[in-house]
Amino acid sequence: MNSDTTTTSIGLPRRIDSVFRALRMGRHLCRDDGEDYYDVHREEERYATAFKALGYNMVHHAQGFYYFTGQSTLHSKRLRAATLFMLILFQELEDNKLNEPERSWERTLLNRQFKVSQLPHFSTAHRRMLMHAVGITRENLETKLLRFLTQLGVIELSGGVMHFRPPVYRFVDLFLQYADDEQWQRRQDLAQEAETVEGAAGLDDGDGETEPLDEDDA
Amino acid sequence: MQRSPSEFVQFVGRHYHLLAEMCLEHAGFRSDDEIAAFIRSHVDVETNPARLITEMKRLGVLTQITEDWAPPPFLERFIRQLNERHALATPAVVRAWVETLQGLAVDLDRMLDSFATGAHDVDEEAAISLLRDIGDAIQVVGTTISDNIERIGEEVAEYRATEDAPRMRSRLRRLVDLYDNYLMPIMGVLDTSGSFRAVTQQISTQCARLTRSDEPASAPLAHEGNRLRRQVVWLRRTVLRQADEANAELAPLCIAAARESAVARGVNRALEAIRQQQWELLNLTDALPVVLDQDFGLAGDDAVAAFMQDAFSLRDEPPPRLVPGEPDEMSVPPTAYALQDLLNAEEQLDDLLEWVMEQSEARPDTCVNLLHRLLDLESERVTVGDECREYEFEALVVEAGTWIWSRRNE
Repeated sequence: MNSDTTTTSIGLPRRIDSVFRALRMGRHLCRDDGEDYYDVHREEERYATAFKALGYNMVHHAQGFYYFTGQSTLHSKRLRAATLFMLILFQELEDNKLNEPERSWERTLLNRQFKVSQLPHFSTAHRRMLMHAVGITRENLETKLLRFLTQLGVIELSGGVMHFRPPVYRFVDLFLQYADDEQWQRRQDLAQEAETVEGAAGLDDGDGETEPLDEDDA
Repeated sequence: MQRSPSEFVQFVGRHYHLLAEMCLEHAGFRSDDEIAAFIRSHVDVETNPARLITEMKRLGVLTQITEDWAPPPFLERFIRQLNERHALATPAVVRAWVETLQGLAVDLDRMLDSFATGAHDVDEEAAISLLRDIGDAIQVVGTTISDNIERIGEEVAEYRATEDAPRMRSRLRRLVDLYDNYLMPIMGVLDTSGSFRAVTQQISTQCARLTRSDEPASAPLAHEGNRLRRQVVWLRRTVLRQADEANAELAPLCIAAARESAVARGVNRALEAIRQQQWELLNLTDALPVVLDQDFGLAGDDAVAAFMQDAFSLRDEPPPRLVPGEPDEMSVPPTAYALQDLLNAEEQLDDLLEWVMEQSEARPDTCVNLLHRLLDLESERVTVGDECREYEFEALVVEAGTWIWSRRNE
């Protein structure tokens, strides 16, 4: 059966093939993605229904982007590395916001440009140590992590300069969720206790922190 | 060494903010380095801490008590009391004044009732005195709120002018505190449904009764009532405007600061967990789900199963056809300003909400929002009616008090 004929006969949205391919690869579609985004925006319900039937849930975020949740969720070192990357960058923005004219970083988050060579992730021994623990060094930052974030549609990278796209708000939401977690301290204490017990029994969960990034995706 | 009181006072005046921080924090210092660190975190970078420390010790602004250097107790007391004198009136104080007003309004009600029942033994002097007490109380509430709002405006201006990061941070904390603990509660008192609005409305209506021909009061009493009513309307409008302006200035700053500080708290928590190698606390798989299907098939097994289940449930008949026809027109509700223009054609409306419903034919929330905006825009022309009635919308009955609009109220 010809796939184009099938698409037409059951009335699927016009750009479903490229949208599906992108979303399934972890892409977050926003305005910057042009026609793919606008077509989803115009026919959101039809797209959502079609994807639902395929076992994917298409989420429309309030900041104006779409992404998939569902099966084959990424649980990897790369996600850890991406989260750590954002944590350090946001910490830096918060620490320095009062030296900037706007005195606020979130309002200008999408307008900022960062030179990759001047990112703060390797500026102190502590930060370097954290980044190395997830397998990211100054040398492989761009190939291993920034390209991955570009693939997800969280950043745009061009000529050694990166800027955020609206999907960066998934990380803002995540950190707000941590801040609002009333059980955080209790869970941290429990994790601490468990670690102490495991340490005393000489156990190791085998979750070595310096595993290479390429081996553990999806 | 002889110390000069006037030099002492001049020094305190010049360095008031630094000394106030020292006294309010009960700071004690073991060495000059500790004093210098404190000074650096509270004053401009150009200030020379060493020279300041020498001056403070020479003048007795810092004295050695046991081993520590600290401001003398009398200076601490002085600054604390001075601070209390110039502190913002708390929302509790404002509420207490509003309660006083409510009590006075009850007295006024009683007095009006005795007029209505034709009792001629009303003490006119006592009645005028009551009206003046109400005027004074309203003046105090208005001035207190205005002072607070003016101070908040000054603090915002100072924050915007500050260039030194540590001072900016402490000023920003102060602004957030002002917003949460002063401005927001006061906005609650001033809100359309708040107690200030209600009591001033009540007093305004009572004063209007004093001047009505069917409940005659003496000329001096009617004159006093008229004066009080104008004062109430003017003050309420002024205070509301000031509060709105302060809110417009402070809210964006504070909301952004509060949100960013929450994000920073989450960031710090997560980084601390990572530092302790407690990645599981971050629960990334559930909290940040990212789909990444690298091996392209049509769908996963679950998806195929779900799809097949749906497919088997389909009936062997074509879907229903849509009925051709012109699309419905969407009615756009009028704006509050448009309604305000329409009011110019009216003399009096005994039920403002009913009139709004006639004009807009919209849903209840739209109508009530429009009414709310009109009450703000036309605050000097509206009064509360006596009755409470039911307003019928398509799928909802709203019970509400009536509002009367009259051009004569102007």
